[in-house]
Amino acid sequence: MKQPFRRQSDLRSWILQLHLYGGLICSSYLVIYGISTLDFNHPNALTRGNRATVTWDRALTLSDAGDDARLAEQVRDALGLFGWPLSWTMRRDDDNNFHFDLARPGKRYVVRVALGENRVYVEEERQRLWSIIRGLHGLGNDVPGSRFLIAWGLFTEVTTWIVIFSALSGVYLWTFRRKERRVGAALTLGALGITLALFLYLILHG
Amino acid sequence: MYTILRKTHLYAGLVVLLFVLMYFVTGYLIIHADWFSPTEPTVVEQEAALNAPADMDAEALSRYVQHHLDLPGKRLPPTRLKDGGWRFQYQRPGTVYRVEVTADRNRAHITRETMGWQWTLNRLHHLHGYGGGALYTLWGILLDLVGLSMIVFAVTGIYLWYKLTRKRRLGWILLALSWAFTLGTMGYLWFAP
Repeated sequence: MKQPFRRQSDLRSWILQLHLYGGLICSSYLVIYGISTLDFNHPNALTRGNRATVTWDRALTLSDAGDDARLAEQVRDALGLFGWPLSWTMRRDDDNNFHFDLARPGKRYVVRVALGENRVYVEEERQRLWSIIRGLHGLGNDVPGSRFLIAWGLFTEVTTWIVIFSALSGVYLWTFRRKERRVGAALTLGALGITLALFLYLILHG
Repeated sequence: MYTILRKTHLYAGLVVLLFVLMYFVTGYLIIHADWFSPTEPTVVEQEAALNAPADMDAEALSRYVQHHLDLPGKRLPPTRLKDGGWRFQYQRPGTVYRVEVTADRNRAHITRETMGWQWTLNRLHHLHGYGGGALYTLWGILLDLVGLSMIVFAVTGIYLWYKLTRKRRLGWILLALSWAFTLGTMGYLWFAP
């Protein structure tokens, strides 16, 4: 039978291993989170805008059921694209055209469906790398039309749990560092107090 | 070097602990929004006299309206209305005030939306950028710290793993998979039609 201190040491060792290897798994996502957070906080012309705009058109026969959202999805799927048709951009004009925008990380498409001609005209805005980094920030597995991005959604899920575990296990591991206990406690309590006060103040009186 | 980076990793983690937990817990609520469907906001509308000076620019007028009507929240960029009036928004997590000021600047129509806890946490997560009041500038500074910390955790974490372990094959594999997958996804989004 193992002695208590040995069991505690084993537990600590396991938690350290999980902390280390979990961190390696989500290290690339942490960098994405870091860069995108800084970019959200400092929007600027360098990271916004498009790198290129390309126009193209394609013959397409569609069954117009009268439902704009459904029609936009049909067009997206028929063109082999993926992303979200933006409901607030959908409109029909007097010349029997249906207009909508389709967006996904890295690209935005301005689409005009000429229903009378059975043709689709697309203005494809290729955005900068920053748009992709921002788009990957917390991206779930609900990007319509893309099976590949389901894997990124899973990565988001795994990273979320690893970060929560790492934050808590990091505190646990720190409690065994005698030399850093006092400084760490002062920093933790100070930061916890300020952060909690800020959250509450912001929500209640902000 | 090892000691400096270990302490940086540790102390940065302890300082931003609650902020990071808040972002990942509220982020989880956002990516699983269908599990935590938000309740409809409560809307209250009212009219108020304003009598604002005519020579103020939009930003000054927004500050005046907020102060005069005693509205809390972060000032968002103003919108010009077609009739020459202005729409201002003041937002704090859980509450949004929309104020439409008439073109003669004498009256204001105030709409207050109070949201449930799901939207309150959602708005807390999405709060970013500088300006709109001192409190929100402080939030912006802390958010920058969180962003920088994410990068610091990743870089120092890889270094600490390298220094703490002798058998590194599994670690290299996990690291390679993580980065290959992220870079591959970025490439997919860059090149996919």
